[in-house]
Amino acid sequence: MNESVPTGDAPKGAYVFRLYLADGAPNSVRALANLYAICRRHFPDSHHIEIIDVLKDPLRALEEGILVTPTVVKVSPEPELQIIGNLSDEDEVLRALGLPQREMA
Amino acid sequence: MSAAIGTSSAVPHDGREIGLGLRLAHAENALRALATGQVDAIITPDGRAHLLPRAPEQAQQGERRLQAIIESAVDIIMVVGRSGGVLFQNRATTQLLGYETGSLLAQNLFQLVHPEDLPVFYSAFFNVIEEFRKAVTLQFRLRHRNSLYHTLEATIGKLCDGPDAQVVVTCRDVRRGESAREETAQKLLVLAEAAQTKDRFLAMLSHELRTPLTPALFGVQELQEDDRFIEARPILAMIQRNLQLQAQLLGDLIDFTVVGQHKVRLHPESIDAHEAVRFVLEICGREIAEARMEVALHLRAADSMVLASSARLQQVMWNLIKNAVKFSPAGGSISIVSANNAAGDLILEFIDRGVGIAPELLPLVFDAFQQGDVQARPFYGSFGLGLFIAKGLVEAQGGTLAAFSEGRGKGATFRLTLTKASSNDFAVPIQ
Repeated sequence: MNESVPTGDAPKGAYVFRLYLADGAPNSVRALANLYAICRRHFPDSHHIEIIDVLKDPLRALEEGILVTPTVVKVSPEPELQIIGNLSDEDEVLRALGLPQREMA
Repeated sequence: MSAAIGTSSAVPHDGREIGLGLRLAHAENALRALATGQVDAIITPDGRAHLLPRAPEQAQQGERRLQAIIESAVDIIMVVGRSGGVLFQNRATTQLLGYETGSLLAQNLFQLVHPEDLPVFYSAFFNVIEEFRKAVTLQFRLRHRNSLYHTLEATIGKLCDGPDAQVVVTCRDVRRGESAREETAQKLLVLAEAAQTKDRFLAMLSHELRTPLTPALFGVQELQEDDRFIEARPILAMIQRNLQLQAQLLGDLIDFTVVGQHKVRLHPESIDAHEAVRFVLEICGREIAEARMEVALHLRAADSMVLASSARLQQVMWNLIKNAVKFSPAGGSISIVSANNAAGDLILEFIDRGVGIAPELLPLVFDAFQQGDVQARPFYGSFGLGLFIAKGLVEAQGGTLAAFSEGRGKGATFRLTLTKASSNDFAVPIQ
């Protein structure tokens, strides 16, 4: 499952994420779904998600200094940033990404 | 919802060398994620990924959720072992069958199934246990705690295999609909019996009441012819009219019970319907004259020979003509029209320009004891049986009788259709 999921041509200024997950594990599945949802909502035309299954490619995770899954790395725009967890709290994720949070309902 | 763990610290973009502080921050975040159950694999420094067993809390949550689903189900859900022992019961079991939570667990389900339904249930159960069938749906009766049997629709499905095979029995209570249907059916039976009893009583009563009228009528007639009572003749005529009316009413009641029970036996003969119309008009002559009614005859049918019972056909025509007179204003007019239809059968229409029939009452005109509008009641000298009897008699002769009206005040048409007589039927003269 080490695959790139291109959405468009990842133009300059696009959000590029690398998601380290354990394929099929509940938190990983949730993190993936949450990341997709956040990208669709906030950068619909300019995002790119690379998925790395640590069960298949643990060395890659080790090289990147990944300790646990799920971990998402925001590769671009700089600065690079790690978020660990299932990304269920969208506000927390947006805050970490330095984006405006959702309006309160 | 537990918070996503984020680091706001920047990672040097160019190198793999990560500062100690940042590593510690990552480790701390990883630990926090671990503590909140958001981690499912750990990568150890030897380059291996270790999938974590599901966080116990999460597993418990899942289990609690499943339990909540099962307990909130409206249907009975039971787990039953190979020998019929109940291993699990949900809350609906208490609600539908009265067995408190856990009270079934020591019991054998087979002992609660209605003995008559046991073979079917047993067979379904073992078909599933022995894996001949995946799931079986059936209806059976199960004993409520109060000892009454409830009809349930159940699906028996396999839960696990082996010598300790278990099945899941889900049951839906169908007793409500079922018992309502049964109740209705029983009530209908009772009503039907009551109606029959009433009909028998009515028939008997009308016969008994009519019997003494016959000698009384004869007596009055003799007195009217006796010169000694000339002065009393108007009173005698009044007595005779009332006795005749009484006899007529009772005759209607007898016909009603006979027609109502479909016991009319007629011997149709070949008769001339036109001749019958004229004959009946003669009989009704006095009433028509009293109401200053005019009758227009348009007997245009080329073939007026029909298969009917002469007396009964006259009775029907008499009813229809009297009906037309009764519901027309004095001085009005009635038309009687005949024609042959494509099949050669005779159609006779009795058309009046009287009070008419409201559309909502039209379907009821042939019902017994119906008499037009409620305000129009009561009409003297009738039970409202005339049209009911007429229709019954017509149908017993193989004909049809239908009513038409454009509405209240627009008159009514009664269409009588009579089967044509075949050419080799011997014609019987009207009398």
